[in-house]
Amino acid sequence: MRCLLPTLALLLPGLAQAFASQDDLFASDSELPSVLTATRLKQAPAAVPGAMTVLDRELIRASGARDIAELMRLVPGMMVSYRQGNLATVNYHGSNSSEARRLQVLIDGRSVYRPGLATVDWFDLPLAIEDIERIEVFRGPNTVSYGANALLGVVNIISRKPQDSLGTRLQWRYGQTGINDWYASHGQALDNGALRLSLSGQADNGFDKDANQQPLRDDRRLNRLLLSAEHDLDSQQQLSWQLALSEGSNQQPYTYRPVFGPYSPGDQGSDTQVRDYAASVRWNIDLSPQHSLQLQGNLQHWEHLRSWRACDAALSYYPPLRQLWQMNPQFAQRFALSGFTATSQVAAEQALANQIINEWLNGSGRQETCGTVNQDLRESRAEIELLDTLSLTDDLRLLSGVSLRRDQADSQTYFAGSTHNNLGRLFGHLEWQASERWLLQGGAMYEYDQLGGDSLTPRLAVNYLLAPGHGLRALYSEAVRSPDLFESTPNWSYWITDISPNIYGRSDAYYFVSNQGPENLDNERMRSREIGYNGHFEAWQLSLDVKLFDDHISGLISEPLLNNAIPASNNSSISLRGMETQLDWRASSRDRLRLSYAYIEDDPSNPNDKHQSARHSGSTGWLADWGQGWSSSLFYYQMEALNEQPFQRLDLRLAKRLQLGSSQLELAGVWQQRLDSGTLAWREVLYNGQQIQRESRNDQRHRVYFTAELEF
Amino acid sequence: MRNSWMSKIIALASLLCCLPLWAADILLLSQTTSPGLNTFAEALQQQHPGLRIRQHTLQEGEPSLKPGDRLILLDEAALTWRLGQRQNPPSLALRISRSRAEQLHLPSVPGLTLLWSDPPPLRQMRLARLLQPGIQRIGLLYGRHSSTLLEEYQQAAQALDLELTTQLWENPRDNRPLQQVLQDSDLLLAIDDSQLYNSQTAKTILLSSYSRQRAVIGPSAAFVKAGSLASSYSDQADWLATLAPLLEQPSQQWPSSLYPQHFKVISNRPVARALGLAPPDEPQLQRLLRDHEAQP
Repeated sequence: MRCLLPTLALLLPGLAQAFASQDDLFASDSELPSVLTATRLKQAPAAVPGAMTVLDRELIRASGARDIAELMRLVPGMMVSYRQGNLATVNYHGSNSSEARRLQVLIDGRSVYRPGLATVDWFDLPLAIEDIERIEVFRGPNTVSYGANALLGVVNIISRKPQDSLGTRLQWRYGQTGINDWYASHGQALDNGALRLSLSGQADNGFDKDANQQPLRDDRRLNRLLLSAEHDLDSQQQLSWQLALSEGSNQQPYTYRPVFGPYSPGDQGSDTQVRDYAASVRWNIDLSPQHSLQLQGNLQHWEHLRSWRACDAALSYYPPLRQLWQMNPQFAQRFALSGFTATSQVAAEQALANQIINEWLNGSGRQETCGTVNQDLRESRAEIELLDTLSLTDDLRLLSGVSLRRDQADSQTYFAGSTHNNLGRLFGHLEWQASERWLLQGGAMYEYDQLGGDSLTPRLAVNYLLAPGHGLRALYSEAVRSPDLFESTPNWSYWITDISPNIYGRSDAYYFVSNQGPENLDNERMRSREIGYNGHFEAWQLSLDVKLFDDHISGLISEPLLNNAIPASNNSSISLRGMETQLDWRASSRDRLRLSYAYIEDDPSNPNDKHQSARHSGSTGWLADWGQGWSSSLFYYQMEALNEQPFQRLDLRLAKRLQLGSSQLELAGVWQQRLDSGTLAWREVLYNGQQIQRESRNDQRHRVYFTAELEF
Repeated sequence: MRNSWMSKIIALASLLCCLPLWAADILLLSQTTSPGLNTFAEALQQQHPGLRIRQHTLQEGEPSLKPGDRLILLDEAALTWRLGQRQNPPSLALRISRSRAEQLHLPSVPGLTLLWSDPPPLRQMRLARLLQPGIQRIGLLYGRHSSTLLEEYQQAAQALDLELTTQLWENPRDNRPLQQVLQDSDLLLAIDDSQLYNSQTAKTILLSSYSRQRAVIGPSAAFVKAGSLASSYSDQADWLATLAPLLEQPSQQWPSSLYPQHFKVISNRPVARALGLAPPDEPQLQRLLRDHEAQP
């Protein structure tokens, strides 16, 4: 019997389990809180209802990239280029990218998509790349989770938690093309939390030459401050807040071309002074392991101050010319550009035309006058969002929320004063693990938009898990992009000041061109169908994602935001079909390989949307750890004919990490080598469809820079 | 009369069967008593009906020991008391982790056997490998009192052809070692060191690991409930089974320390699902680990 009893306990696991009760002296529950609760856990990659690319810190660092836009080259289907020199544009798949206004970009849940002109200032974001923990790129529409404007995709930038970045980091980067960046941060643990202050600066000279082999005015300079803190109020509540500022200047070339003759340039450039301010507070409350709330409030303000001197004939300020433009902009444009030969059948228009011709012929209209052009724009956004995560059962979870937002823009030039929009959003998303293999996810968003009208967008996804870690997905979603404030309420005119010599007895006057816009623009609507596969081959440490997509955007606003006679409309559409894949393989404990590729077929109805998608694009990366503190990374980026320009670049980064007592020093060098002979920038459409090629190139096809980083 | 005679024979037979020849008392010693302790004492008595098992708490005062008495020390107070005894009664110390023993600077004492509460490193690493066969780099955080265990972990890693990445974590309020080890490894293996893994640090460790899609293995069943992927652990039944052969041996043959030889596997299925892993089959994992350990 003595011998039998222990054996019996082994043979009867049920009996053994019965002992593992609350009173078990050896395995009873201690006072550990449940941390990875149903509300905190997310779906595994194979169960995500869509295609996602995650750029982790290791990859971000190894890429050697200096800014977020360059990192987007690692995301399949992302089109990265530059306009007006080195101001980055990032677009997913296609459509007119000069403003790239169809991508939602968030920093820690705060949308940095500017309300006024619907652009993202990739360079001026008040977040240094060194402060980024990871970037999650949701490749596809997802307005249900991220709100209107998450039309083509969502770039979700997650900054490092202060608690995860304690200590001091100093960094300096220096290299060709005037690269001179610095970064300093200090993270400090608090009684129940942590706080980090990051200061950073970035500068470079941009490209060397424009398409005419003239020096290009595109230097960039930026200083940033980010104060980030988190506090554990108690075991169920956490409060985090951020304060972010950036201040800089972006050189921009003098682009004014006199309408009435070869008048001299009034200035050397038309630089922009940029200031971004942001504050956000987030309050997380765990009501129970199955139920959590998140309340977030954001305040943001953007200032883009831009003024320059421009010269043209005094006729530019002649009131009858302005009247004629307001009466019939198409005729006024034709009349001005034709050397006053065009005629109108409308008597009132012709009468004004005759007045203008007289003014020109009597000589006073021809006089060269120079004035100060002001294109200042101040934008603000206030937003509050409540997000509720409720785990109804182990297999059923509901995410729902409500948000309120107010966008405002102030600009004499763009809006003849101030304009604003109020938006409200209600959304819900249900995740149901119907069985071990089937996962159904769906939701809808209702948005009230004071200017753009109401919209309801659904989203439905089915994931079938072939095996754990391997899933097929099929999804259908609809999404909208509401017109930005400028598209909704444009009132574009230039009030020129300090005119010299005075004209018509005045030193300030309206420039003749103005654009009031249609004011009745509707939302752009997208229907997206996608099937995909996501798998993680555990034995090989290899992750693979394949996506086939068929997207169609109707009511597309394709007209570029230019002060000309082309009115914006919802008359365009675009279809985008293709395939994307990404592979991440940890080939050994020291080697990581990464591939991304996209094949895109675009079918735009509007010429403005042509040449905006590279048919083939992708990247290849190899990260290697050689031991003894040495590491290297090699990246190859390729885009076939984006903007009719090929792009191929090879980046090599070599780094050595040294331990100096308790400090760590890393020295790194990056060599970027262009392998194509093309240029790098967008065409921008000007009057009457004429195009100006604002291409940029560097004299040398390579660029080298070095980084030293000290951490202690 | 006949019945009484028969019952005496039966009683004698059962004594011969169940009582060891060196029969003496087993004294369960602890600072205080608790329902868990009482349950353990009852179970031990049920398992060894022939043994005289006594419970004594130090609260009541010094225990009176008879020659041949063997002690089972159930908490740190009892262990400390035992260390102060000159007679060195044969003792089995339970519920003591290796890092705690290091922290207490336990001297090597004749007659004292330390039964580690920690799951053995090799078992935990095998479990990690069974759950994630592709892992190559095991991350390990250690404290000042668990640094002496590194060699054993290193040997276990070598035996399984795994790379061990270690970081000293002295100040749990400074996450940098945690961040570094997560960056340099595929999985975090938790040492049973209460200085590192406790209710204060659980949230940080588990959330940081999960945000990097790294699983945590160990250190205890309670930690698995909090969000570790899995762990082997030994509950009362396992300890009873581990104790049984020891109690049958002469105490002179007791080793100076021993890991629990009987164990179970506990896993967190929602965490496995969120990490994209197959739902762990606990009995199967248990069997596989036992088979491995049964191999010479």
